[in-house]
Amino acid sequence: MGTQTGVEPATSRATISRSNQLSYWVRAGGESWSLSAGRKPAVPAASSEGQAIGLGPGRRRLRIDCGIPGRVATSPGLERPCHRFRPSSIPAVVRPIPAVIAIVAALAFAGCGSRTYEQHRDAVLTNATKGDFAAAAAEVNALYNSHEPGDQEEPGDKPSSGRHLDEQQLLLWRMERGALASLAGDLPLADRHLSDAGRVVDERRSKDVLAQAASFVANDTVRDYAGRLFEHAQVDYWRAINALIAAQRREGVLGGDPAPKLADGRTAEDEWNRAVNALRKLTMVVLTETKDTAGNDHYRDDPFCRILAAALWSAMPVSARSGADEQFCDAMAGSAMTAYAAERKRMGHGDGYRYEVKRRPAVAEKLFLRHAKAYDPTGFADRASRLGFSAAELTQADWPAGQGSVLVLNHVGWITRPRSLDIGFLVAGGHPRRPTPEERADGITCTTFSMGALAMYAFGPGSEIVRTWRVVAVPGEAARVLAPGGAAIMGLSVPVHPHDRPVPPPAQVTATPAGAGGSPVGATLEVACDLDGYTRATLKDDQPEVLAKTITRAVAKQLAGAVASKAIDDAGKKQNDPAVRALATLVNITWSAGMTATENADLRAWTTLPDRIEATLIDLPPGTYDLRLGSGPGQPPAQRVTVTAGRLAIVPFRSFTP
Amino acid sequence: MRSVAIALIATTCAGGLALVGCGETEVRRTDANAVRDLSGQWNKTDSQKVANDLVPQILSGGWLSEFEGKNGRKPVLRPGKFVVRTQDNEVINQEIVFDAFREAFINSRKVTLIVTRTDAAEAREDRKDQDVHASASTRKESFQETAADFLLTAQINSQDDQSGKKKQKYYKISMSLVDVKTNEQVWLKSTEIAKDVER
Repeated sequence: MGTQTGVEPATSRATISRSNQLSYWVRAGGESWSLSAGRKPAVPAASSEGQAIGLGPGRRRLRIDCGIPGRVATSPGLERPCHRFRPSSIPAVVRPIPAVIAIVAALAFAGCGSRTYEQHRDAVLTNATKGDFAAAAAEVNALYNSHEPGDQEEPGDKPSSGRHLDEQQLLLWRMERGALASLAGDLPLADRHLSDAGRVVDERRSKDVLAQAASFVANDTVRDYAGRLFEHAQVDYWRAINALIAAQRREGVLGGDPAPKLADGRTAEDEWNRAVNALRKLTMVVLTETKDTAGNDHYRDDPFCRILAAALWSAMPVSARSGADEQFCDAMAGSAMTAYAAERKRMGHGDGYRYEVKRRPAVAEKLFLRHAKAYDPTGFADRASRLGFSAAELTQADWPAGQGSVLVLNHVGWITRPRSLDIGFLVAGGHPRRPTPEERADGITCTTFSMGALAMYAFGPGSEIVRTWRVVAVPGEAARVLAPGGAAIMGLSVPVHPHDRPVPPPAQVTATPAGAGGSPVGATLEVACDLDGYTRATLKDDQPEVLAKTITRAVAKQLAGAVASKAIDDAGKKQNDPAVRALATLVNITWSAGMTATENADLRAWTTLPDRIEATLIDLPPGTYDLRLGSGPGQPPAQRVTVTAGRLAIVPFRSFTP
Repeated sequence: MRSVAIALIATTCAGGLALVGCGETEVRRTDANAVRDLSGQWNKTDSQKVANDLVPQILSGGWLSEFEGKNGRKPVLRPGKFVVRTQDNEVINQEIVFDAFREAFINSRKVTLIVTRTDAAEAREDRKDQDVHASASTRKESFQETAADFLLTAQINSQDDQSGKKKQKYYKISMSLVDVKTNEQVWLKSTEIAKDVER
């Protein structure tokens, strides 16, 4: 059943009889909606005027159903009928109820009539994959209700003349727009967005603990997005990558089409300095703070970011290198080695996710050995042996004489984004909705579980995860208090990731000499950074807190309704008026339904990040080469690189294969 | 039940509201010479301490009077390789460490300090540029550089000892002077820094 507009006439009626019978119907434009009380059907059709539902002793879960799977909602046009309740048929005390129902309906309808969050996010990635970055940016603007002059507020709009930035979503908007501008090759725009994202990260990182506490009261989605720790690192990683591209373009190290847009008035030296600054900030500020705040979390360091920082020294022109940079790069290469080993230990046996960095990447080892030997030839062997290198491996520790090297980076696919796992209470004898075949193909399952006296279900991708949760048992008495009068709709939703799947084998890269002569050189990349693993591990780490917070908040909201409901119920008992007592039930139902509708999982995440980064190091004689990834369709365009003896070129690719 | 629920909600709301808005940025200017240890890592105070320890020793060494007696002028020093060997891959900005030495040497007026090889290369590039672009009256000639008599090299080695939340950071800083003409090591001294860090 979909949404209709302009439906007339819309009528509704609700009566509660002295024999504890509830009659309730609404008709709008020939369509009906139904109210069920733990059994079907209650009020099935437009012709059911006067039909009653028995509300005998015991708990009932009432459900207002518009037929949209998984949604407690109302039929089209309900908001108008709700305002037309006939007061004469309802006791005076009941009059606020229609307003409550209207709110519930409005909340439910909010998700029915407009494009959903997920659809917007799909559109961003689809457009970006197609290379339509303007459309993707417009989707991001619409999604986060933010734009600057010249931006489209929504896809298809004319460029806006004004500026509107939604503070709550500012960091996400900046990160997504920065990533899209990087993909589009608009480096000044990317830098502007990512620089501001860095500023917001700095501000919000310290406030996040307080915001977390505050979100016990409000829904998670209403707090300012402060970003995950690995996302903070990625802000500076992409700033550094863009500065490296710009520096190498200005020097003629990188070429080929399409040429990125570079900032006016900057020199190659300026761009190198920007790269140094971004990588120093990333490794010495962001990663240090990450270590300090991570506690026992799985993501505590970022070895690949350290490898990029280590590569910087050899990529810079000799005239731009300083002793301080050399020591910095050497320290980064060394710390990457220990960080890879520690990360493998923490994430290698991923609980419900795959960690795709199978070993300390060869590219990282090679860069470390070469840097360490060049920096400190005397102490190098001791240091390498402490890090587990064999004597044979030390023989590959020299930069190849008379040759240059190319560090090829392939940023692959899209990171997995969180989805909603809906959790609800099951009434006695009831059963949850079964996923459709399409939903099952999408990894959506339904799992029942119990929380003490309460039977519950989880519906969403990988719902089996609930079996691993340690939840607080709710005794029967508590359940009774939460649902006075025997009925309540209580649901909550938490973010989860769909099942992880193995990644396809890494890409092959071929370097073909640009001029006549010379034969192509090929190499296979390997996964050097598993961003998807980071997001999954981070969510797992956050899950106990999110769950505790969500349940606490849902129960607190439920209690507020229960208190009001109980007061009405007590009054009904005093007056011996079954109608008033039935009203207590109705208050509880509508309140809990309303509160359930406001409980949305916080699915926010930086979605335009790659799933993983593959890398390799190729040594080549000086000259100009065309680098190509793979050979099939859908591969990124070839990049031209000029190799100089004794120097490293860094060539980043972005590909969208799964 | 009612009062408990109301109290629970009110407390949660009040607590939440009270916590929101506590995170304002606060900036205070501090004395750059004040000793402030935050993480236990190498910092400005350490650079200063090492310079204050080693420079007076280097300037009171026999090599200086011997050189002056033989050559009748102040010796020329060039900062050479600075190697940092730390267990935890700590980044130590050697430019800041060397700056502390440079400042102390220049203030002593007992030696002539020339720039590092990287800076010298930059100056040479500039002279090449002047050959093409500068007026004859302001152009600087090549082959006029002051040659180094001694190369000043330094090394920082660290060793950490940790037990639970307690950690000792130990740094040994060695400095040596190498006679550029003969490759003789004419002076070698070291100093130490130890810090107890508790988290």
